[in-house]
Amino acid sequence: MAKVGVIGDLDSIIGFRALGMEVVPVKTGYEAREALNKMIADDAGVIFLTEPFAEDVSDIMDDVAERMLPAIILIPSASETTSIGLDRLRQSVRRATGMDILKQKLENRPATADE
Amino acid sequence: MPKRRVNPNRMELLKLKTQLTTARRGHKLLKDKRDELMRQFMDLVKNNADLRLKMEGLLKAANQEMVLARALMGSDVVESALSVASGNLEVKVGEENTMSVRTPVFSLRGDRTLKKGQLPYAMTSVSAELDEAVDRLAEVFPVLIELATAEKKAERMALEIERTRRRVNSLEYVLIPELIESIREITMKMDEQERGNLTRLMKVKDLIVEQALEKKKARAASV
Repeated sequence: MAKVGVIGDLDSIIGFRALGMEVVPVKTGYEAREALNKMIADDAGVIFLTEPFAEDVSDIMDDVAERMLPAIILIPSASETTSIGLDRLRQSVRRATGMDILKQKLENRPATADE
Repeated sequence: MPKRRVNPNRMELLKLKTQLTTARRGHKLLKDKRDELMRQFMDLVKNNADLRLKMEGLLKAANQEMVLARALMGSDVVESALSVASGNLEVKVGEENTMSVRTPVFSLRGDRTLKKGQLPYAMTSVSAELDEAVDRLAEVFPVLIELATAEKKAERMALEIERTRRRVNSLEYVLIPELIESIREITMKMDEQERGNLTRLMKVKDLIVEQALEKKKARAASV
C-alpha cells in the first residue's frame, strides 16, 4: 500500500484533494523540487506532477526512473497546454528503438481550449 | 585496441576457444532478449499513448468544471470546502516481472475509492458545479492509476533495452573480435614453433645421417 501525491499549481490540482490524495500546491520550480523530494522520502507510490514543472525536476525524474518506486507521472495543468508528457514518451521510444512510432498519434491529438 | 598478452601455448588456446563459444552463445541469447523486449515495448508504448490521450481529455473536462465551480462559488470557498478532505488515499502496489524487468502494478482498493455521489464535504454549502467537478475527477482517477502503472513499466523497459543493447554491442564489436584475434595469434605462433621444430629435427636427422655415413666410410677405409 502506498500513498498518492500531486504537485503543481493550485488551480490545476485543488480538486484532487477530494479524492484523498496528498495535494501540495507550489508556485516555483524550487518549491516543486522540495515538495517532490519530500514525497519521495515519505515513500510515496505514485506522484502526479503538472507538466510546467517537469523541466525543473527532470534530473530527479531520471534518478527515480531507475527505481521501482515512486512512479512520477506528468499531468496537464489547467492553464498551459504542453505536451511534455507525450514528448517524454516519444523520446524514450526513440532512444529504445531508434524509431518514432508515436508520430501518427500525436498528429491526431484533439485540439485543446487554447488552440 | 589493446590485445591481451597471453602465452602462446596449447592450454591458453583451449581456454580462449571455450571463452569464444560461451561469448557467442551469450551474444545470441542477449540478442533474442533485446528483440523480444523491443517487441513488447512497442505494444506497451502504443497503449500508453492511448491512455495518456484519454486521461488528458478527461482531465481537461474536469478542470473546466472546476474553473466553473471556483468562478461561481469563489476560490476561497472551494479551497476551504476541500481542505477538510482526508489525505489518506492509498493504492495497492503489486509487482510484475516482464523478462526479468520488475515493475510495480498499482491498483485501487475497492472499498476506499470515491464512489460517485460520495463526497467528503457538506452538500449544502457548495454548488452543484463543485460536485460535478469532483465526480469528473473520480472518473479520471482509475485512468490515472492505470497510466501510472503503464508509464512506469515503459520507463523501466526502456532502460533495460538500452542496457541489453549495450551488452550485445560490446560482445559483438569488442569481446568476440578480441578473442578471435588472440586465437589467431596463438595459432600462428604455435605453427611457427612447429615449423621451427620441424626444421631442427630435419637438421638433426641430417647430422645423424652424415655421422652414420662418416662411420661407414671410416670402417670401409680401415678394412
